[in-house]
Amino acid sequence: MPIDRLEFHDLMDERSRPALERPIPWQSLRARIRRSRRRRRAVAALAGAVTASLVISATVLSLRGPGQSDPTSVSIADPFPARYSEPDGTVYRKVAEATLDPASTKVTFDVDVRGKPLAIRADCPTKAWQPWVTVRVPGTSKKYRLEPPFLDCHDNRAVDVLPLPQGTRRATVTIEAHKKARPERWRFGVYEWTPPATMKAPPPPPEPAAAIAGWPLLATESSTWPVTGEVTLTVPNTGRQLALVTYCGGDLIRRLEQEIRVNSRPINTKPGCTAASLQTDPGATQAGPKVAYIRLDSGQRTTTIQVRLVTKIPQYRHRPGTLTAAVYEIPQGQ
Amino acid sequence: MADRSEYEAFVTGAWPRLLRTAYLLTRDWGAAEDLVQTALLKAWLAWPRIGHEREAYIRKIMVNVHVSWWRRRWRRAEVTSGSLPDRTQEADHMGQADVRESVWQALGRLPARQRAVVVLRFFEDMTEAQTAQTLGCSVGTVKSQTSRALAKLRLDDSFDFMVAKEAGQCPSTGWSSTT
Repeated sequence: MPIDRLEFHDLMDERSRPALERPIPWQSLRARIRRSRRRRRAVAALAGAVTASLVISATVLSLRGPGQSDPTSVSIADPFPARYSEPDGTVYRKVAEATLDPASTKVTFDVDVRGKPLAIRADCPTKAWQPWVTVRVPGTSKKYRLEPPFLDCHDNRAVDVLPLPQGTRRATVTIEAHKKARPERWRFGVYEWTPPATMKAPPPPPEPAAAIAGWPLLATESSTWPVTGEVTLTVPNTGRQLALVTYCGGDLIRRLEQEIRVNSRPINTKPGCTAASLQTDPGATQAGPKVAYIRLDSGQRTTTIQVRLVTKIPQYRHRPGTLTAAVYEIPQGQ
Repeated sequence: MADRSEYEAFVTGAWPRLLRTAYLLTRDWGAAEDLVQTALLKAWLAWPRIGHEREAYIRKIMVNVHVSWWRRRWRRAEVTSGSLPDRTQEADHMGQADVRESVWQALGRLPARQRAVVVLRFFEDMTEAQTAQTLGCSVGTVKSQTSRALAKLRLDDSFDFMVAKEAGQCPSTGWSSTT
């Protein structure tokens, strides 16, 4: 079955959507700017220098040294603390640590499992061509990947391993270098996590923007996770295209998936949540919030949109979150 | 000299949009961030000289840097080994998810310049003239690159734009009607 231009746009929109949840790597960007400024100054100094070549060489060496190892870009914090908590009270405890050396293409190690979900943190030497992490349970052939399937190289957030079978006592973690990656040293921490015994109250649901990209807000509805985690909106069918944006709050922002139904039919597009703070971004347009374009059923007087938060990890039902769904009308001609 | 606070405010607002474009160009989150940072660094150095069209300026740098990276990789004869999947797609009953995956893979096989044209035209919704300005080429080149890209996507038997009927022509209108 062919896909049309709108679906093609949706496809690119969907695949690039995780960009909205990736934090800006300020430290790296500032370090690059500092290095660039330093090099510029060095070049200017060299251009003006008329001293002997030996002296010039010494100057070059002394200027290039700090640029290669900017002290401010070195994190002094332990990337793999033995134990830490997320703001919603979930406690992460380290169960293993591993290193993928530049000379190796793969590292495999076993971890003890105590019935708690596992998650992986990474200390990344680069953000390009990440290693691939899989977990197996001895005696079975199934592989359990990360969810979402990539490491978080920005803020060292632990990324979950898909749930292992009940009763698992031991798991084998395999980390394989990307075939395109340059040999570098990657470090990993494997954590088990426990949600708080008493769940905190969810944060207030985000207020949707009154308009995005000039599209007026038609309807909005909020819900809390895990109590309901579902909203239903019904809007009149005026023949104009609709855009759906979902805003989420809480620590589960990058961890829950959504199921969307339009007039009781599931749609292929599965957008993630837009962070609550993005709604205040005045520059956020079509490429800002995560937008799902809704097709209209001709002949229907109303369009009913249901958004449901779902997760493959049952322990997330002990962590609080919020969901706000907003439907915007796309004026004709856009 | 550049106003640093203005620069940071700009980066804060534009980062997600630039990263989305960069990811569609590079198909790797790390490479995408590297590309955006490279473009933002170049922009920072030229900040006092950049006019109001800052995002367009940076997008132009990104596209051209990406094409040059791609050429360098190509010359070193690195073989594309198939990047890691972004997210597994569970096949649906209608096979639509498989079609989408095929189109996504086909898009990834396009040469850098053709992929850039497709991303700018069909994701950024740029006109042919805007795309030509961003890529630093003529409108005719944009048309021919678009046509070739669409032809390649169609050759995968997985793609059929509504504009396909316009054989050899580059679509110049906005959204097609898909109700």
